[in-house]
Amino acid sequence: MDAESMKMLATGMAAGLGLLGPALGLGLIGYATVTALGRNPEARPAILTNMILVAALTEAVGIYALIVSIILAMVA
Amino acid sequence: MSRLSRPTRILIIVAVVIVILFIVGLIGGAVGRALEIDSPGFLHVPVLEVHSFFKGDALTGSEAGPGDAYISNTMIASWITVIVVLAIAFAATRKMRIVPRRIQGLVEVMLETLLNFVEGVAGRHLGRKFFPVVATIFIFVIFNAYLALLPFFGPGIYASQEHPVEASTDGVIISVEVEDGAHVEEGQVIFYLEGDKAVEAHDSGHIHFDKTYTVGDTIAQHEQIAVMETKPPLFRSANTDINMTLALALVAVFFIEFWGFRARGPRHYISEYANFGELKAGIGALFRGKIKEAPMMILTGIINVVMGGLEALSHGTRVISFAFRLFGNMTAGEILLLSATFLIPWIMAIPFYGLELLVGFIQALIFGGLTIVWGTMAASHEAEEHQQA
Repeated sequence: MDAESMKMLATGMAAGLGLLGPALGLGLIGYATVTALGRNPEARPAILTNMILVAALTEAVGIYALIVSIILAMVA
Repeated sequence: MSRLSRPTRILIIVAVVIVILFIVGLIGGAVGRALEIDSPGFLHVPVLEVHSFFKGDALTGSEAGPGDAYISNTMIASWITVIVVLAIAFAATRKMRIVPRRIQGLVEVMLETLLNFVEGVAGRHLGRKFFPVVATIFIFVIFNAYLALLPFFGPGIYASQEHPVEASTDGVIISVEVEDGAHVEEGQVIFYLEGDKAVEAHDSGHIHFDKTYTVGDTIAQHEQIAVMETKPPLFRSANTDINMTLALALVAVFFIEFWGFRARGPRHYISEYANFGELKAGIGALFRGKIKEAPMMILTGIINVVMGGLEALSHGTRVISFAFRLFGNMTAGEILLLSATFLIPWIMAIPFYGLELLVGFIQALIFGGLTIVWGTMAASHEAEEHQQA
């Protein structure tokens, strides 16, 4: 397998496999948020603020995987 | 047509314009060229690409090494942001009244929303202390993100640069692969030389040869064979420059530590991360004869030290996560917009513009919000659990 196809494979796999985790994490955050809102609709501002915060932290991990993939595609 | 109501007429006109733009974009863009639809030359959309990835393109000087100073297009964009924000602030504070009108009212609403957000997370007292830095970060990031969506940012306005192209090896030319004035990609072969060697382009742009090279010419190493003309855009979103996001991250983390030091005293703050108290008490108990309790205390002491070290390390990774979160989101958005514009111009980019508006706002909120949250955690650990030795 030559270097060019290896690089393409690495680019795709870095993004694809790396984004599985954050996608699962964001789904779990959504589940927890909706459950909490269902139990206690009055706490809506607090729940939503924390949801946005934790969602951004999780999404950042996905962005790291994307950056690795972009580096492989463009700089390597 | 005259019996339809005015909103319906406007809707029909807008729909027709969108359909026409869609057809024109389809024909002239990349999809049309792939489907091989014949179209006149003026409809063709040129290749849109991101020239340099982590940093902005150098507009004056060169970016040869780490010590070189140059003005990049992202730097110019951040100056534009500063000028716009200062202009809004100036316009809002001229002739201020108690009951605000128009621009002053709008700016007051925005600032008050921001203040409520900061105080909601950090509490009243700390919120007021944190507000200047956090609001600056938020306003800077969001204006950078939104100004980049204007049409004059990006590959439309470009600053032509010419770089000399040197031959990487010497030899006799077997074949000339590109014409004068053609567009080359990075890594594309310009000359094939005798002996299985090749001269490649180190950058993408239009190449103009110094003189006409034919088969059989000898070229020497490091001889200038051509001039490469690149067209980097004149303005580019400042958030796509890792230097800018890294600087903002350093400022945010510096202020988090500063607030922690100021609120709790340097010694008390550091003692949370260099937590040798339990370990020292355990070793002291060993020497003072309480052999039974000593191993347990030493064990928990070691665990405390390691945990404190890991927490201190997490302060350092905050810099990296701040920088790369903002950079990654903004660069991915820029590449997405360029690709959508390249595929079907005008129409396909519309939903992605909406996405970019949302992402810009959320990223600014996250940067500011995480600064507040970590600042609050650093500055207000008043109630501590002291383990009684």
